[in-house]
Amino acid sequence: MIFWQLTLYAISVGMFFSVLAMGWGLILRSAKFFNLAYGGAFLVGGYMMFLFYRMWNVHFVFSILLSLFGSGLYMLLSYKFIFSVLLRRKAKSLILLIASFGLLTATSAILGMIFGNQSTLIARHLSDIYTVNVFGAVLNLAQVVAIVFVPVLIFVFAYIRSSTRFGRAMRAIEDDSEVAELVGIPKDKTLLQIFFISGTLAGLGGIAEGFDLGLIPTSGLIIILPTIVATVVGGMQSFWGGILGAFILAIAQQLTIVFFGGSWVQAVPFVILIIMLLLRPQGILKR
Amino acid sequence: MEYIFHILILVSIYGILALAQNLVMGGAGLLTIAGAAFYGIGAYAAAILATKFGFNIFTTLIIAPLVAGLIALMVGSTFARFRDDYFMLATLGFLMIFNTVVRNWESFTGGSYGIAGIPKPHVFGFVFDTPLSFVFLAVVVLLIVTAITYFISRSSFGRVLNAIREDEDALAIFGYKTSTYKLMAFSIGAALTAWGGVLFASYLTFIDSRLFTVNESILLWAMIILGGIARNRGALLGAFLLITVPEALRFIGFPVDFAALLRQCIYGLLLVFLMLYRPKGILGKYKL
Amino acid sequence: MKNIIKTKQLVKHFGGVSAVDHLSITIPKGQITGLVGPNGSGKTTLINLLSGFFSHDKGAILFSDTERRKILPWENKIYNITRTFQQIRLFDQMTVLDNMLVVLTERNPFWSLFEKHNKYHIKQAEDILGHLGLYEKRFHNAGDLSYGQRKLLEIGRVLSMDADTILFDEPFAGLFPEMIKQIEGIIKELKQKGKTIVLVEHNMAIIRSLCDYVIVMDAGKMLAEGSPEKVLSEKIVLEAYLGE
Repeated sequence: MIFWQLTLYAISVGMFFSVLAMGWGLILRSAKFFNLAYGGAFLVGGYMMFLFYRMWNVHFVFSILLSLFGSGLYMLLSYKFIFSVLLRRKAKSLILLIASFGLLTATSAILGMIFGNQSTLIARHLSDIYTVNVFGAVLNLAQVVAIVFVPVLIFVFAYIRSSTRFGRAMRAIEDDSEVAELVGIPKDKTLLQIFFISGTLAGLGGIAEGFDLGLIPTSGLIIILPTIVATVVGGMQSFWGGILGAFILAIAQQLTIVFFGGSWVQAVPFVILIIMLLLRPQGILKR
Repeated sequence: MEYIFHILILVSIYGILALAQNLVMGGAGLLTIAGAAFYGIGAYAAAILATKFGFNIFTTLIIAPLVAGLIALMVGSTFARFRDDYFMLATLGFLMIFNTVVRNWESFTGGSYGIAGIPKPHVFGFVFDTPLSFVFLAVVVLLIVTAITYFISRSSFGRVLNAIREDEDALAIFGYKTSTYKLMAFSIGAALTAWGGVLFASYLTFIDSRLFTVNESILLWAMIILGGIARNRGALLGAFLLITVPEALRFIGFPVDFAALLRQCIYGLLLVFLMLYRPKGILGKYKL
Repeated sequence: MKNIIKTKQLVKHFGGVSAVDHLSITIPKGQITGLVGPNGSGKTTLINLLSGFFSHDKGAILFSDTERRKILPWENKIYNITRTFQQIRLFDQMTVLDNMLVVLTERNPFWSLFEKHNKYHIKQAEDILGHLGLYEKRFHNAGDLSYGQRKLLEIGRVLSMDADTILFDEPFAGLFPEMIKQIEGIIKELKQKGKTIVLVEHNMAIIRSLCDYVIVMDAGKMLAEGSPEKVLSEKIVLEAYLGE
């Protein structure tokens, strides 16, 4: 029975990181830098949901839409005013990394000033934190929603990526952005869209975290390491790589909780990262 | 007057940290966020040795850098293979593990309760318990660290580090084991950083797990980059500016927690603006 | 016979493509060996393999008859080999003098901590810079030099390394005739000092005038070898170049 419970936990955590890795990988592949401000979008999404849904009693659906839009906008603006400037200057990836780290730090500090440093739960009604019994395993609603809803999201994205105009533009930029520009793909516009979508995915993660465990201003940084590790381990050039990595990470985390206790979960991504970088730096899946 | 001494001590401590980390970041071009971890290792080594084993802080000034250097040597032997973004990621992971260990190993580190009652250093019956005497001690250590970093950056070793920063592969062709150099720079940086930690622990007489988080590392980044990366005097200038200027916030009278967050926000935005408008920093020659 | 380079059935893949394909060659000692072939024939890859810049997949590389399973770049100092790069790779944000000194000073990381460049290091570096006509620029950053000066500085680094075997990867590409003359002179001088030289070059006139021995490569394989006059008149070589 415990095995079944753990399996479901691992799946739901895997789904959670799949969403995050999907969004982060979008930026890594297209703009080619480690965007830590992604953690900022995660926080913005979560805290906006808290603000609208919990504090201002806005309807659930509207709150979600507004929060996702907000986190997408955060990412879009960060691209518009910071990253696009640096990218146009052909700055080294380290400069972009430092700038995005600075932005993440500032974002979590500002959210801390507004909402306080304590753990913040989004749930408003008792029904928001109901638990569900799935053949003997107990899951909360956020986890159930993740398991049901995220696979749909993943396949929608896979479809967009493979079969729409936007998807083709996205892949062309991932291959070689200069060539893509030459054949008439609007690079700047596509990148704006990519950043926006990436932001909404981060925001979705933030909302889920807010319902599940609760948010603290430092969670933006705490989730960024597993997100990066999931993306990189699976193979950062591959769309499915991020999802594979997310599940590897989730399973490793659950095993760690069983054998070493919950307080060591934060060490898992680091250990996986080191093992991977030593054994197979290019990740598991190729493009 | 005591307030000015307090600022001077902080400037000295952060000057030590910034100089030491600049050796890694500027000298060898390895973007490391693990600064706070080695700062913490230094502080905890001093605190644990002094409170549990009755060591004099002066003795820990010798032991703590060895501990930090040894730990850096161990983790660094895997990190030295990584570059750029991945090196940063590995050091971020290390810092998080350090924080996890410190928080959870309560019997040893005191966890979130911390360690209290860390003694002031004493030598030949003289105790550095007045602010003025501690200023003196901190400045002396700062001068020693400054001398060491200048010595290194002017040696052949320093030149090789710079070449690694410029083009590691090309340098290897000329017969250099670049990973050994990176490892040594990382370890020396860690050992010097630990001195800042020892001074800090002894000055505050109390440390806990919240003092050595990623925010401290971000502050160090901001100091190094603001002053001018790869320049020793830049690191000193950065430390001076980022300790003294935000002190103004204290006089506005924000609550302590709020002021801390506000400072953190300023450091973060400062990094963004520096990257956008002046990645060289104030005194910089080196373009990141 | 010190420092003769051989490869035996050397293989290097990139993805599915074999850049070097079961290549067995011998590079004669104390001579200038030209490495020619169309673009993508694996010349630069071979240089990269010999200098340990890439590791090879199969086969063996032999230096003076000791087989080296894995070529580690830092061992170049021990085996006395050095190279230039096709795409110039200088330490851009260091001065010209520092670019030279870094090749001259102590390799041991521990001792290098206690070594400040000595007078004779500076003198050696300045002599070479003077010889190349870069002396005036010695305190400029390498990144601020012109293209030709950068090429020269790369050769300067090679000279200060004072290795027995020198691999030149297109040292003449994109240079003015006077500068080509200058570098030709340097390479001839090196030969007179008894150095073994490998030269990747497209310009047949230069190959004819400089090289004692020519190896023609195509698609990672050796097509022909021998003296320049003989090889460059062979039919298969002309076909490979003209694509007939």
